[in-house]
Amino acid sequence: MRRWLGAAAVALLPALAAPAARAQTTPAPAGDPDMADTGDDEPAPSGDLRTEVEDLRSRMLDLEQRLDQTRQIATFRRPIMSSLGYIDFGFFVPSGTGAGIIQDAGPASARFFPQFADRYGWTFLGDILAQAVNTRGEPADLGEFAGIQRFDSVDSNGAPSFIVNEVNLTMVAALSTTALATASVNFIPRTGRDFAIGDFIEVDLAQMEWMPGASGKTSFFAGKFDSVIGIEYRERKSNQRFGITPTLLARYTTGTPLGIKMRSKFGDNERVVLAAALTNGSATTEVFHFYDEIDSNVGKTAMGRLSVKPLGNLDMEIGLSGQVGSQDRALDSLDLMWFAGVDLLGHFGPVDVKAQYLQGESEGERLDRVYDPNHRPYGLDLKHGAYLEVDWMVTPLIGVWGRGELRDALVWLGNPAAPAAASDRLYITKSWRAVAGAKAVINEHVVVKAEYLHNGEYGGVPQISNEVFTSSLVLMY
Amino acid sequence: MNRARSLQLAFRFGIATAIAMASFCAPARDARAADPPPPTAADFARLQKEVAEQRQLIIQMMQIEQQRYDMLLKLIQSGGQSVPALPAPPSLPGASAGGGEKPAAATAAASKPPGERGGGSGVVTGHVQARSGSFKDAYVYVDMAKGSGGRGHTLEIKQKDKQFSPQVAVVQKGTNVSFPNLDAVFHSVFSTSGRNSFDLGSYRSGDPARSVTLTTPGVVEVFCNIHAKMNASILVVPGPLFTKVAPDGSFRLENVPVGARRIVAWSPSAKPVQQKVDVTSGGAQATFTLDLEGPKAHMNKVGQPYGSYKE
Repeated sequence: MRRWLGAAAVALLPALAAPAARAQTTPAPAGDPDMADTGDDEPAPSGDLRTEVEDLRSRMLDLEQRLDQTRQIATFRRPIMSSLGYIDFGFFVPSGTGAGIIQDAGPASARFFPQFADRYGWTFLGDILAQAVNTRGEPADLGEFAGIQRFDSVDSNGAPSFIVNEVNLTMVAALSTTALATASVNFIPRTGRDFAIGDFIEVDLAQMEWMPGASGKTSFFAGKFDSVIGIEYRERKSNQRFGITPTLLARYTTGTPLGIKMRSKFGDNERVVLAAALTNGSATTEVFHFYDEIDSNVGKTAMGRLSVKPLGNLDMEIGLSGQVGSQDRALDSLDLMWFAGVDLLGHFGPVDVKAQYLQGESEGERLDRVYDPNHRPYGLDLKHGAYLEVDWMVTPLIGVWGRGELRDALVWLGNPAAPAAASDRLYITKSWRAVAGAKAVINEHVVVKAEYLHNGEYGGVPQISNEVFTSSLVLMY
Repeated sequence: MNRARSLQLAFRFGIATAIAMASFCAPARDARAADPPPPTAADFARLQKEVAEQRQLIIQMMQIEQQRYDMLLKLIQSGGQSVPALPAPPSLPGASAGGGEKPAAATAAASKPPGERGGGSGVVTGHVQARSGSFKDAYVYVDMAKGSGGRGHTLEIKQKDKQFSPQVAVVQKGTNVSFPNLDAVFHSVFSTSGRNSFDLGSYRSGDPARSVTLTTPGVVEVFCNIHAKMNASILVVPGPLFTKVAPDGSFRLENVPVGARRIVAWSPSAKPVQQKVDVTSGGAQATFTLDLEGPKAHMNKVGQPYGSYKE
């Protein structure tokens, strides 16, 4: 009888053990023990197996806790600063002397623009930045003109050449969850002279951006920052630009002025964007005739841009932008310098369309004033400036682009009504440009580009040999 | 000789089991009839047969359980690299799996959670509303501690025109979510959402789609490290009991096991709101009010703000 009872107990053990085991391995949801568990589909182990499973569960919990701790440590030890940048290496083939301008010299009868023969010491025709060889907009050569001293950074004399266009180092530091500090430094290796190294360093961004509010839709900037004029400033760097060279208008819109700025996005899909800035000087580039890094007058420059996306979900924005302020390089704030324009930027799948029209003026020198030779303000009459560019990523690897441009401008030093002065000069530009290029995006770090620029002249300006082929290997890190 | 002893042992085992079961059942029988008739030889034989069948079933279950735990052990030891197919328990209802936005009504009927076994189920209906404003997508689900999950199921979230599509998805835990890039430009998909954090790195159209298996229930916010405006929200739910809220705010959650349940309402623009509901076979009702939040800036994958110019 005792043996029979023992056998019965053994037979019932699995059946009795199963619900007991299930009750132990089915805890109620954490933090809410009164909630029923609706989803335990794991069969109940028993005996040694149960112990083994419990041991495995314990080890898994331990591992999960350690993983969480490691993740926390990694999060808190994350560096607030990150560094990025690129090396831009190129090869270019200019035409002629490499210069985009010629001098209108000789007796008045032999000149293209005889009306200026008795007024300016030098009259130049063409566009001084026409033969751009890189994204910096540096021309292959500035030309050799007696009595004119310029910093000719490439100075190729029309020879084809390899060039390290720029080595960029950008440092971005999160000062808090709403504040970002950015510094962009360019190292530019160039030819030395008179036993001096020609390399130079350029700081083109040094800004703090503060984004108050949870949405982060509004930013306040202080320091040296991107312009707010037009759209080209967004791709003024080699690692940003679809092609290689900047447009003929870039000299007016892609400078990095010093001051304070705000930028705010409104509406669904950021349909409206408003940017405004108060700066030392204009948004011109430092290598052009106009620019005030440190202001030399009391008057400041106000600039702004308003853009809207008018067509529903179509990713196309139309912008109006402009700036006005005391003219750059002047020691007083008596005369104004202004720019105004309209732009369009559309993203249509693999195709981007970019267009801009710009006008501007700067008074230059007054008749009744004597100017410090180091602070003579240039005059500008930008009658028309425009471009239309289409970028197309044909495949994820290959992209092509084309651009048409126009620039009709006068730039002068010395009042036009003043008596002739040997140091005064005039630049007459009536230029158009056709650009075509192709690139291969090897991977996210390597891009190879090639571009051909055909510059043409019109309106009485003779044709200048100023075509250029240029290429660029951009290595991003 | 051995066989005869085995048969004898089995016979004794069966008789003992029958006696033991008879003794367990005795009070019930006592309640029904004060003087039950004595068992006949036929009753005794039938009981003996049932015990033998039960015993066989228990042995089968234990063997399968052993196989499942062996597999589990291998899985843990391999660190999840090789995932052998686990044998299904012999008599359990089928495990459910979702992915994407299959509502509960479509999935739960085919796969009742094991907790429901023998307990019955009910329908939870109700309404979700916003305290102010309106929401575009909202879901209601039963928050379970454990579930069969969506292992083996996949969801595809495309990256096209610098947007994720769909931007909102609900998956069961264990679902593999792939992110094909259909744009010519590079994207870099990542999430810093707790245990579902991941970083898929940069790739573009033509590159193989990269994917992640979301193993922990909760909300997973997905972003692109290159394009600040790209975002998607994935709700990882523990089981198949979830449904999308209708445009008028109503919802109907079927096959919810009876008992005290935690029902959660969620929308990408609001924090999840939960409610305890006693589900009966006659059903239950719940009403949720979501506090909608405005757009929030997010950090990139190294914890920095993107800045104004990152589109």
